[in-house]
Amino acid sequence: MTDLVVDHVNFAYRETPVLTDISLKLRPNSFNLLVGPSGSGKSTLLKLLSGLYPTFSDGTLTGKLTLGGYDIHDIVPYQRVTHIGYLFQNPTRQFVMRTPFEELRFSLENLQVRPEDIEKRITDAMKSVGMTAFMHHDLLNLSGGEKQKVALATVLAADSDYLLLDEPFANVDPVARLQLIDVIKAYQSQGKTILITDHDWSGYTDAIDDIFVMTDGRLHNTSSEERQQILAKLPNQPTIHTSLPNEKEGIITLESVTLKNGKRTLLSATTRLLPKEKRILITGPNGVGKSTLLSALVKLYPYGGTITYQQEDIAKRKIAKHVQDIALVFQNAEQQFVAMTVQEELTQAQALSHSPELWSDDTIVTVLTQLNLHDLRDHIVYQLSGGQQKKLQVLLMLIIGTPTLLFDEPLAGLDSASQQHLLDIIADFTTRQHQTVIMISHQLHAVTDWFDYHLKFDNQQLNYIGGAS
Amino acid sequence: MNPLIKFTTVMVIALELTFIKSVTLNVIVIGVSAFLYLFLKLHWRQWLWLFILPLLPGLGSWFSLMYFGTGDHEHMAWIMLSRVFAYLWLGGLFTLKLNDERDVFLATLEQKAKLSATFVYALVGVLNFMPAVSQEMKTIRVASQMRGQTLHIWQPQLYFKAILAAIRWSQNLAEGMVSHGFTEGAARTHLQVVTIKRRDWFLLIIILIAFQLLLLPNWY
Amino acid sequence: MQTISKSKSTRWALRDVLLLAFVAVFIGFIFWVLGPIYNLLSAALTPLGLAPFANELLIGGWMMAAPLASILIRQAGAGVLGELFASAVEMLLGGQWGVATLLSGFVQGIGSEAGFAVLGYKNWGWRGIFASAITGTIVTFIWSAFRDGYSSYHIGLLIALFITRFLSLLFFGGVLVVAIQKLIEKAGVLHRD
Repeated sequence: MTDLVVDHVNFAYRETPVLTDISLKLRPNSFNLLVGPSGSGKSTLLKLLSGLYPTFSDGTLTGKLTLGGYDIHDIVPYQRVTHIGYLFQNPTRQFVMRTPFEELRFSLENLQVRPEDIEKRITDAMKSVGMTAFMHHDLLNLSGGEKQKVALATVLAADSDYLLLDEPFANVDPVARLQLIDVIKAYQSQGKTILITDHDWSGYTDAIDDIFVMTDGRLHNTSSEERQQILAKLPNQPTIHTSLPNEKEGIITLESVTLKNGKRTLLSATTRLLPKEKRILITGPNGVGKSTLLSALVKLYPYGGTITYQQEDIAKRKIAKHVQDIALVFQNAEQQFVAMTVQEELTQAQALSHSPELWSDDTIVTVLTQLNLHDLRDHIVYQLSGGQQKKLQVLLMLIIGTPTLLFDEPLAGLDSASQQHLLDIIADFTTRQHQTVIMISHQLHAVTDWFDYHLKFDNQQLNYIGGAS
Repeated sequence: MNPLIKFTTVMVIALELTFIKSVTLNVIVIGVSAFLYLFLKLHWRQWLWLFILPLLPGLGSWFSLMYFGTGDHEHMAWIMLSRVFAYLWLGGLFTLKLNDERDVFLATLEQKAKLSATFVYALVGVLNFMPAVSQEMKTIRVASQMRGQTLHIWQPQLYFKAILAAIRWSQNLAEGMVSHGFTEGAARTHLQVVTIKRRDWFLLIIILIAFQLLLLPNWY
Repeated sequence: MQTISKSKSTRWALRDVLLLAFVAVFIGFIFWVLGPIYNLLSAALTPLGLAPFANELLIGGWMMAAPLASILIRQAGAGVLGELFASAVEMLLGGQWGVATLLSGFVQGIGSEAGFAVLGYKNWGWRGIFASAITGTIVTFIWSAFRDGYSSYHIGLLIALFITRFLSLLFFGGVLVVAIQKLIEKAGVLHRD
């Protein structure tokens, strides 16, 4: 195996350093975990290792990253990929082709694999990730977990020596996650080297050889004592404490509602009510249709049956009026910004707030400070880090104070401290504003005691679970 | 027939039609296209489209020229009406079969026309993103409505949001392509090698020559 | 192992080409939504003999991909390529006017880009943008003289059509593009080398 070496690397955007004096050499055939708070530079390091940066960034690099003595970013991609495979956190926007077969074919053609070998390599790779049945399915219709398996299959097909994974499970459900972990472990056993960044290592603790910690752009290798501490931090099976609802009326009701993705049924005729001013958690395997359900509630996705909001059929409500009553905090924060600077966004939200007396300037200062956003008031929102954008977006939507707020994975990609802060703020203000909260979250560790009710979305069913109230 | 050859034939004739002022020739083009459609086994809906679609723009030109034309404007009015039909019927020979032939068309562009793979796969990429583009536009509008702002077509913010999505997506897709080994300007292998039959070239030349000969008489 | 030599740079970088393509389809989509409105307007104007005005009013919108491509990529050929992408995508999606769209897309791209070319591809600000609106109007109008039979129109109507087209390009291809550029610059989301 060719050596992958990071030698005194610094990386900065304009004047802002992201990585400072990083040196790293991975042991051949090892399984390495890279941890650290969100925004600490983990993703940047992985993109540099994959050779995508600095080419696809506007940052400046000093120091050396080499593969077998060559600068990584100077190696032509079709050769580089056979040595270093890279898995994105969210593969959705990274596929060029329409189906998994075409995507793998595209990749193998790029690698100049002989035409007669291509089909066998595709079949083998797809078999390893258990996705042969999906070979000619539309990638757009696959779940996050399924897409990640296809993305992994392209790396397997290229037979890369190093596999870099950037929070690969952030949008993957527990079942698919374990399957992916098995494939990755099996890949390592073929003599490959793994480097993964993650906030949650339940399920593969035993496989980890080395742990690296990134703090504010600085990397350090852990002692065995630190290792134990880090690995012990996560409980493995969180239990969620909720009760069953006994309300007779709901602010939202579903009457024989069905959801489809292409031809696939996501939800078969379901009648369910969602009580007012409660916190409702929706969980379930990825691709099962949770996000789709929230989209349908704000009229962004077609559905069968009837959905009502306060006894009114939402199909008959004008979208502009509807979203004054029920708003969605989108997964992609950027979509929800309407101004340029943090301050402009806050001012806009304050002006439109349903409870302006609650959102005084002082309150906002306090919350901004809790969220570590206070020093960023004159920053351009599009230049904040992903975590900062997410926190700001949630805050803005809280300020607007829409009576019913839907959250789609608001905690994904945040470190556990940020998750807790954000949840506390959501809890505090939604209670004070008498809001109904419906949230999809995979970050179960953070949310065990927080919800009133728990809807489980599985096998095309949507059912309340939990102890009797 | 290879779709690129077909495309070239149609394109050349369509370009010429733009400058030819003849009702007869337009009708001939429509007639020949109609004859070829008999072999393409069109759905009745497609026939309906072929008749209805050119009607609005055709009549639009016809009325304007009848009312506001000068010189030999009545002749021109009929030319325009027939030309719109000729354009659509001719173009339809290529576009109505495109669903089955799109991949071969693009592969021919890459392998035979030697169009840079960067352009070909950029085109393939955005084509596959079309459903996402329409959903994204809807989302952009609704997401700002949730913040109390409605984006209209005359507001720069709407385009800014769309371009922002384009910037993010192009960056992601570029990274995705490169991480799957795509190398600008490098050679690629091909699972399916495209060949253009000699017969296709022959047909292309015959059709184009025949069409030029048709131009010789002074048609109405 | 083969490495990319430092001096080598392809004229059309992958990222730029993809950006052009995406901008083209997004803009195309925004105005595609207007299709039914255009048809209604056009149908209503037809008996009056004024149908071409429907086209003139919206043409600035249909052509927006070109000046946007130019200001985003700042490179000769970007405008033509942007407009070509827009029409190629429409054709490949099975747009009924497929081949004709591609031809006019090409002409529109040339017309729009000519404005930046006249200024020596040096001015990508409001001067270049407005120059592009002017050349865009002239070039596409000449094309219409042939393709849409405009050469046979009465001079009065011709002037009215020209002014309408110019105003459409001035608004969509000029005023709006300048405003969009300001937003993009301020947001700092586009990184040029």
